[in-house]
Amino acid sequence: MAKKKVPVPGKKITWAMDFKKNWPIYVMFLPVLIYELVLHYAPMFGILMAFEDYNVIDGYFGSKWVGFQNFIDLFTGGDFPRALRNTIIIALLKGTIGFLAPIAFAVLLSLLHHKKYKRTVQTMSYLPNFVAAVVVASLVIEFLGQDGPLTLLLCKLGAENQNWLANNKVPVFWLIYLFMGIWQSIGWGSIMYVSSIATVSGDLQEAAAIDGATRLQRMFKITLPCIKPMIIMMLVLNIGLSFSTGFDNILLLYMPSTYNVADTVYTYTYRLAFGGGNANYALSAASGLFQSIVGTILLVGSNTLSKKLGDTSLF
Amino acid sequence: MKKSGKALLTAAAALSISAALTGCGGSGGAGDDTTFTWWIYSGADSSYYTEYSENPAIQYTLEKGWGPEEKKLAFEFWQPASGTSADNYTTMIASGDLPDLIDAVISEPPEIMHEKGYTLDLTEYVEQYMPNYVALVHSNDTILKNCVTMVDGEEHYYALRGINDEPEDLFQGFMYRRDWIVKYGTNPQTGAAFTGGYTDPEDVDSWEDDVVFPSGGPDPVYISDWEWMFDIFTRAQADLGITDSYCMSLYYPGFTWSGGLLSCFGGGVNVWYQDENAQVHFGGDEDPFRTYLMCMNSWYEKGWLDQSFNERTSDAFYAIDSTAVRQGKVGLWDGQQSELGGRIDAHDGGLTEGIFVAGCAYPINDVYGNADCQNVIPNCVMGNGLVSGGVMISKAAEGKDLAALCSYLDYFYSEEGALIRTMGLSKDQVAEFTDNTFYGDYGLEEGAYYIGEDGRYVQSDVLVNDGGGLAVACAFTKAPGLQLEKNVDRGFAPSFQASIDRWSQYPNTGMFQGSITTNSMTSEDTKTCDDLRSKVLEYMTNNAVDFIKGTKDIESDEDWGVWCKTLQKYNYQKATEIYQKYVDAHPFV
Amino acid sequence: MAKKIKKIKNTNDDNRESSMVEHFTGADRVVDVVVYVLCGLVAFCSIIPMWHVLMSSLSDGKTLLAHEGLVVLPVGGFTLDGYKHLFQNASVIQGYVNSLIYTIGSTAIGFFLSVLTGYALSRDTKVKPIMMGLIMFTMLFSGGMVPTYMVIRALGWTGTRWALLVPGCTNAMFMVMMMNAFNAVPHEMYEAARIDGAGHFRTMSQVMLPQAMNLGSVIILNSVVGQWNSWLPASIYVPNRKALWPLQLWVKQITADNENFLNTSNPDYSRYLIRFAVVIAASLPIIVLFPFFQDKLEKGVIAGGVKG
Repeated sequence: MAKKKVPVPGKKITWAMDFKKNWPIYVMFLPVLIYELVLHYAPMFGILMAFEDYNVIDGYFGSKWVGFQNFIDLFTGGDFPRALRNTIIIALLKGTIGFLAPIAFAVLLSLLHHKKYKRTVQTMSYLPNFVAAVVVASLVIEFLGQDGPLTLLLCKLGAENQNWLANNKVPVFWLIYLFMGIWQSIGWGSIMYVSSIATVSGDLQEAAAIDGATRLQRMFKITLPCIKPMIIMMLVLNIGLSFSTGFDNILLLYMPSTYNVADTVYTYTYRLAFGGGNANYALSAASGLFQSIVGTILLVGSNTLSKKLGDTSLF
Repeated sequence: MKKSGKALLTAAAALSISAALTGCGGSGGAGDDTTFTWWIYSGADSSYYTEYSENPAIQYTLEKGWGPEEKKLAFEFWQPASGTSADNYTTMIASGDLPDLIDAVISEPPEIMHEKGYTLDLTEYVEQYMPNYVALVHSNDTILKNCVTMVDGEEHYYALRGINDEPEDLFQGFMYRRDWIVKYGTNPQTGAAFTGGYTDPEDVDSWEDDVVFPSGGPDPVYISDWEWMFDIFTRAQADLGITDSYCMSLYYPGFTWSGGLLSCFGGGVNVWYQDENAQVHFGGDEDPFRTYLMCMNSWYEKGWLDQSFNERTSDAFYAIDSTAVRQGKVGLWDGQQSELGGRIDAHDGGLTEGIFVAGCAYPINDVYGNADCQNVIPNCVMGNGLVSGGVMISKAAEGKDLAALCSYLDYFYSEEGALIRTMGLSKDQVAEFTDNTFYGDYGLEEGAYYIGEDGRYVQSDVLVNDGGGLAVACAFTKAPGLQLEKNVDRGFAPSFQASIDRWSQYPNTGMFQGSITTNSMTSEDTKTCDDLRSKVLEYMTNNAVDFIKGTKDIESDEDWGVWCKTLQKYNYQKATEIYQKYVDAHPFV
Repeated sequence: MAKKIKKIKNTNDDNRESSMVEHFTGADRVVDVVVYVLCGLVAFCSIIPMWHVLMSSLSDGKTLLAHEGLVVLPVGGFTLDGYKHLFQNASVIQGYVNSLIYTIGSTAIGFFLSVLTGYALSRDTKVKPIMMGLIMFTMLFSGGMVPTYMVIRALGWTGTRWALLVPGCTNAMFMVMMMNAFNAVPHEMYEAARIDGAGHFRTMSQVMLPQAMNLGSVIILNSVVGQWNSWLPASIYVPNRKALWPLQLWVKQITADNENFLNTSNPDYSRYLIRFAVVIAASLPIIVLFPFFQDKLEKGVIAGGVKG
């Protein structure tokens, strides 16, 4: 988050002046630079694979160069449009409702007076974060299957007894996936917001309280505006990541009969690349690269937008 | 981060550094050139031992020296964690971090591995130090074709393959509730009730009955026999009050990739196979597959098939809905050896009380489709061959004492070594090998086997009763070598053996996937075919279900036409032509 | 309701967030009820599945296999067989020790790097956009598993603990969050320290960092949980050194070994419990330690708030 800088009067700072003044900062950054270059940038030659007819034995530098053929294979696959649509919808749901849920929960928590109750609720809400994804998926399958506890609850509310995961009507699967994500992250994701809300100056709050503002008013007029920059920063990051990560759990939950709503670019590529005999690593690399590029576009786009609209931005 | 935090971090850092510097232990007398690393796809159940080198059979055979100089050998096994083997293998090969010995389970064919410079040509060592292997390879033409690569008329060995003296039993196949047929069925000819039951309540295989199927024999042979069974199962389930079950389970896409039931409707599978004239076909848009779908659709509509079969995506094809099977609710399923006979009787008064499960052969179609699709023997079925797996020796082992290694491995192609490899140690060997307590710990003081009255090797009762991983844990099944089947008595009762034999009643003459035919393909051809294969299978996996569930009409030429057109768009002829080339050059039958 | 709130106010003063003057209106009371109920609901939903797993792990395997629906109390009688199976493997204990080493070591290294990055990015320098771009790029792009392995092998770290301590110790997300934490520290404090003659490193570690520790603790917390739950790097870098395996890799191995327990003539149904027992055994330490962390965290936050 870049704060609005006080414009420096006088002449422009040159590179030489900057280095003279800031060299200790650059020295401090050096370990990080080495870490990034060696462990993150050096392996980037792996991206070459997306443009090759890669096979393990010939390796990264020996495989045949095929240009954009892998991307063409990916985009012209019969089910690609459907997978892309589902990816966008699921990413949107995750990026909006899924993103807001922990914030809303943090707001609720901050409205609790009773400290012990608050702490108990908080601690309990962290539990799902410790459950492995595979276990979460199996719980979802169990709870929403025919005669599962949640299915029976829904029956009481008038729904038909069914295996909800086999229901391929819009938007059943999307909601299941969304709520699974919320369930896992609502407590844990709220930690950061709870801690930010707690640091909002007490003086401001007190002054408003004396002026007769209700707690709800104070929440929306003082607390939330105070942590807005932080929320925007997280939102920008979240939008960038929501398109490219977090789809692996779908592999555990979907089935051919729900592909029309549940198949995403990640799962579609996974089947094409690893479903047959020999794994097609190049195709999966091309798909990963495609998702990263879209993610970057979204990240930069949302950052620009927030800079224009709200005067806060990540970079 | 106050002082205590800092102290903690320093302590942790110091601890981790010291732990990182701790050595990994010596290798007991073996020199550098006789210590070999060996990558294995999977080892034994980790509840027996965590390092495969703790295997008692390995330790016993490493007691003495090997090779011309009688050197001591040592192995360091690289065994990936469960579920990570494929990733681990890729990392290993792609990064060039090779072990000395590579388990050939998921690797490319030996010819390609050698051509790309990953593995050594073993010909020289095999011919000089492996007389048992050479003799075995030349004992049979099929084995020879699978183990030896001919280059300019000369024999080359690029791998040491596992060889069976007789095809191994299948571990899975169709099985059904024969006790329900006795109880709820009637003789199709006379209408009389059947009688039958256990002759010895303690023996799970001692079942006898007088069941006769509509086709006249004591076992089901035709589709019509199966349908007759399903009628009985429906009555049984109604009588027992089972409302949440079905007569037969089906793999979730609606077919299995290995063929099986698919090829009972005129032969072939829905991908590539060869017919009796060695012509390669693509079966996805042919009549046999359509007939198969008609039959499945009809069974589905009648309620015989599991109504939610396509939701069981996480089950393996040989263990679908195991919970329902174990509770005794299902009539017919694709199961494993351990479910035959009365083995799943839980003796708790539940639905498995008095159960008897018998294996059956694939049925021959006599009901559905046109005449060409009827009365044809299934030709694409899973079967075990005489050659499987094995090891390759990588270039990392260059310069090490390969003479000693090859002499050691050759031991497992001799009768004596093959016994240790297949079954484990004998009583005498256990008695002489006092350093190791594994056999004693698991009650195997009498050895893993003994020699029976008929001269055959009989598996110890301890292992027969265990039925689980102990037999694997006390033998050296990862070694390339001779797998003994012919002279081994695994303590199977006749009815049990009969059930297993029915699974391999029809020979595989059509499926060349995974045989010498596909192993001879160049990597480029393999890739072309694999890509096509995964594309057409992807389409079929997603859409075959519609025909079975009746969302699309299998009888309608219009719906079927769409299916065929879509498949043709993938240009499957390309793979057909490639396969034909290799079927002609390297026939597997 | 009014009575109740009054009671809380009077008797539980130190249980209250703050003791500032409050004007309670009717609307506030409705809000209160809604807030308490909603929070309670979230807590309830969060705990139910974990309770289900815990109770399943204490049930009788065979009864459990046939059981449908929620396991509220152990079904078929209370047993500890699942845990017995799990801990009969001595390596599990070694796994706990290893996980502890990786979690603490990796979090320490990672936090150090995040703080350095966060500080450098929060200062007004000309190179900042480049540094930022360098960090953000790694958030979305990566060379993949095998190339990373090749680099780490070139460093000589494969088969050692270093491969699990350093490469995954931090990420772009943590670094950006740390930058944000430093940005939130009032600029005057930085100025004051600099005028006092403190160097950048001292300013960072002694003046700025204590102020930024509220978000800093969140990062530490996230890192601890992430490292504790990680198994993939271990399966890639130390597959052949079982003595170095973290707990989670043992969990995966043991679960897989017991997955096909039905595939024997006389299945030992208690092996069905292992899949539940491992979930509990792997997450219990961190759940038990959590209130302690939370305490530290809250103290840090309040301290930061007071000073700020």
